[in-house]
Amino acid sequence: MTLMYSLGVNAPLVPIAAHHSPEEVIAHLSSRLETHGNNTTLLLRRADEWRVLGEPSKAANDYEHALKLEAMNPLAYLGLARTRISQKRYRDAIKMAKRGVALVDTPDAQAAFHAIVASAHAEMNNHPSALVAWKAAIDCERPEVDWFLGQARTLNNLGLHPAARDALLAARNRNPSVVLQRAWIDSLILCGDFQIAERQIDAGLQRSHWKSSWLLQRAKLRVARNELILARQDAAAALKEIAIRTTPDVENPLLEQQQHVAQSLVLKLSQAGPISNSSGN
Amino acid sequence: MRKCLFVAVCFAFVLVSARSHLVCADGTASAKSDQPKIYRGPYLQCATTESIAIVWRTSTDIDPVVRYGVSPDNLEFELQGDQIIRRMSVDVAAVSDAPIARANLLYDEPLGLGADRSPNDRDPSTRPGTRQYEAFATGLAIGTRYYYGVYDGDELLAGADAEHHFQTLPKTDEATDLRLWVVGDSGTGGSDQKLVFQAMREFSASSRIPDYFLHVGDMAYGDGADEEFQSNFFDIYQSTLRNTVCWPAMGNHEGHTSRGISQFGPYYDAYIVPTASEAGGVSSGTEAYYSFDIGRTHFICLDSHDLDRSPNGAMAQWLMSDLEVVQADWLIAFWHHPPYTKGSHDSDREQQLVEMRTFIMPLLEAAGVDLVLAGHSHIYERSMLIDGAYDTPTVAEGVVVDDGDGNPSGDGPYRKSAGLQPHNGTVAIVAGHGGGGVSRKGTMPIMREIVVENGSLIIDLHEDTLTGTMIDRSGNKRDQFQIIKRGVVEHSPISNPWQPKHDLSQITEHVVTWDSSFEGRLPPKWQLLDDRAGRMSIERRAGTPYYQAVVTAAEGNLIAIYDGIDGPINECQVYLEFVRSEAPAGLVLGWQDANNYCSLHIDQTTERALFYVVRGGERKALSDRKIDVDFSEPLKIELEPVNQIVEVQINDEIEYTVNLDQPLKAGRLGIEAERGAKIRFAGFTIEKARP
Repeated sequence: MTLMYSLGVNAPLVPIAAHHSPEEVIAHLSSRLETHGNNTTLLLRRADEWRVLGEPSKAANDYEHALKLEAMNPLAYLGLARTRISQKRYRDAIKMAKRGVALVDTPDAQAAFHAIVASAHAEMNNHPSALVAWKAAIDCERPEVDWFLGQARTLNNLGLHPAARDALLAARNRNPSVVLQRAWIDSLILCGDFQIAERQIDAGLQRSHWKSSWLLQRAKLRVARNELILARQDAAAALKEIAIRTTPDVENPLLEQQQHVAQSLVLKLSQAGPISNSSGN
Repeated sequence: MRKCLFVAVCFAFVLVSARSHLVCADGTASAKSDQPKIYRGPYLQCATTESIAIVWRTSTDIDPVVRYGVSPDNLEFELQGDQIIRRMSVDVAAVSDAPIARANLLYDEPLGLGADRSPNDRDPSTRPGTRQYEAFATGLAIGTRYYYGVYDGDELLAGADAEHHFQTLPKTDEATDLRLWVVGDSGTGGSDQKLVFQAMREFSASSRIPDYFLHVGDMAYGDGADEEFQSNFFDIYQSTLRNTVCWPAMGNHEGHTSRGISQFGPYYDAYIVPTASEAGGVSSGTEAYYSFDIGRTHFICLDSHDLDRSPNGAMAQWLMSDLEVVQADWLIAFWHHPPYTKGSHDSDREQQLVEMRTFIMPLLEAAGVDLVLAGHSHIYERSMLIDGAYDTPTVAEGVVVDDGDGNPSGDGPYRKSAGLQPHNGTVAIVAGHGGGGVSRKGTMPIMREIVVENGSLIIDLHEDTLTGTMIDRSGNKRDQFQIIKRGVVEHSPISNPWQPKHDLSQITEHVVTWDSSFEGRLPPKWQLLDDRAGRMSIERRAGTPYYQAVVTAAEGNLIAIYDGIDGPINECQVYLEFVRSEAPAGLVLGWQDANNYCSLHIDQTTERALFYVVRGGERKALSDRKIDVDFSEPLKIELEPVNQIVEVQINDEIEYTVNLDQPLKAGRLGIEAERGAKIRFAGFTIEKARP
């Protein structure tokens, strides 16, 4: 796998055997490193596996080792920068990402490093710098949906809610993904653009056969409007619908996430008053 | 991502990479004057209720025009100019007078990626001199058949006859009779693929021509290269593609050159699919996964190959939103990696398959999915009516809700409630038998029909009844099932359902094993080409109860041939370990005699894998690659011959295709060790091809 591919598509840095657990792969790689000595590719590979296992210290050691062998390896910088983020060592992450970005020459390849810089600044609440980096990341041909979402979060953290809203709208104009639309509606609620948000939600409810995610979004809107009883009704209606769509004792990871949010809202708003029979859309 | 009308056009003009294509003095690729101007298409894409895309390619510049109308004799409407998007190979763009937007460049292998390619490997880039035209007809009448012709100015290039027609999608609020043709893993360009296609055509000719074509991936072996799309997909199916929209899912072989996130590569050049809910559903913003409605049937296509399949990934989030809006009578989902299979792949062991089962299936069944179609595994497997089968390994107990055969002439159709009701039963089908060699590793307990034979699936939808019919390559009807959705039907899981017999005669896998009775000697069915060159004997592997073969080539090159299997195979696999590394050793394939065979040699000293053919006594290297593997452990080597290619896998990590200079003749298998090599091997496994 080439650098261009790895940076461009955010794929695993090197091919990973689909049939083996990370532990098995690490044991395999360690044995190879013992037999054959230091090898950048093997070290990067093992570092990636450590990251998958949630062992950032070990991952960082391998990335650093790889950089000692090959100081101009952008993949090692990328991996190390990502690891530093997971270790909450944000300044190091920025330093590594800035070194890495200097080693690649296309906007698409640079975008991944800019996104790391942005994430690190955002984590340090250094939102102005994060914003600059998000803009740099997004200024490539094919920005990821996640980067648009990150930029919006940063703008919100700067108190620039209208700018976040507008950025998400602009993102939607570049990419019609419904995932961006839903984030935009959240930003409308945050901006107090209740009517536009309500229209979007109503349209979603109207259009949808299954409504739980829209009911939960309307519950948020209603909380913002201090319509707490109505908000609780929406959350309860969402719970009821999720129960219809799921089978007890059979896992459904995504619907269970919604269920958890709805339960929390119902609990949080339990003091708001009784639930009427006319809930839902 | 590219060309979709609904995505903002990128105005970043590009510098075209300097590649060494053969070009004429005017900068365009040469084309013989007697060749037809169109070399791909015309074919149809991205149908909606009011629009369609007509796509074709030429090797020379033309003045593209499409004329269409409701009668082949009266093509009263015309598309030209800005209504036709022009895309091109980089050599054409390089000499263009006008700047060319990046989105309009056809795939060119990124610099550096070709480094590992041997001279015999196919260049995956677009054929030099290519112009691709994408004409978008809009404002069409719903559910209406139009005829069309493609022109160079006024010169007719194709169509304007009864065979070139398209149909806009029907109204989504009315039930419509539909026939779908479902094919997977077809892209060999070989005789089985052609027989499967012919069988479908003959079956359809006497009943109904398919309205739509669903391809569940692996349509262009071995690497999804542009020329492989041409020879193994477009050249084969053109008589259907000119009047039938193909809705594609990307397979892992297309994934060798195409990428889901950034949506580039020959696969994405070939297809135009809805990204902004043009044909129903909600906007995905990507061509990697999408949905569309045909009448009262909602279709969902996913990328199981190279995108995040987890619940928090963008694809699952989109799927969730899409399923919320579905208000159809039928729901059909398709992708490449099957959630349930024991064909040439094992859904209990492989990550992509496990994730599609555990993360994606619950969402679909919560929305009442009726059919899940996949490929990847080279077999036909059709389940009973199931629900909630997400565990690994897959078991039948408690997840089968109707264990009949679903056949109207047998146990009767499966029954479901009208509309889309959560967890009301799903039929999962693996249709990976469209052309590649078929095989079976084991028995998936939820399956009702398992057929190890090439073929394809016809799905008919008529009011509240869905009928699936599997036609094999000889035109025989090998399976039929029905789902009737009427009234309210409640199911309960069956605690001890019918299960398919684990019929060993149907298992195509042949495993060579030894026990203590063979210790210290050459096992039966093995012969050494020259027993003076060295020896082969069986010994117990230290610390284990298992026996392995030890081959020592002390005095010369040693070839050990296995006589237990003769004839065509789909795959062979061996675990090979170097005891001494002075010389290469490897696996022999297609053995005719000492002067005619193929071999994959692994050289531990140079860390290279060399694939060569010996023909008429002359040895010719077809592939020579650097491999990064751990030689202190046994290497898992797999060879999969498909028509004129051999798929090579080492340790499940390294995967590539060797293009042969002529089709591989069926022959015996064996082990080859060059003088000085000492190796051990075990797990010698052969998947026989069905006759």
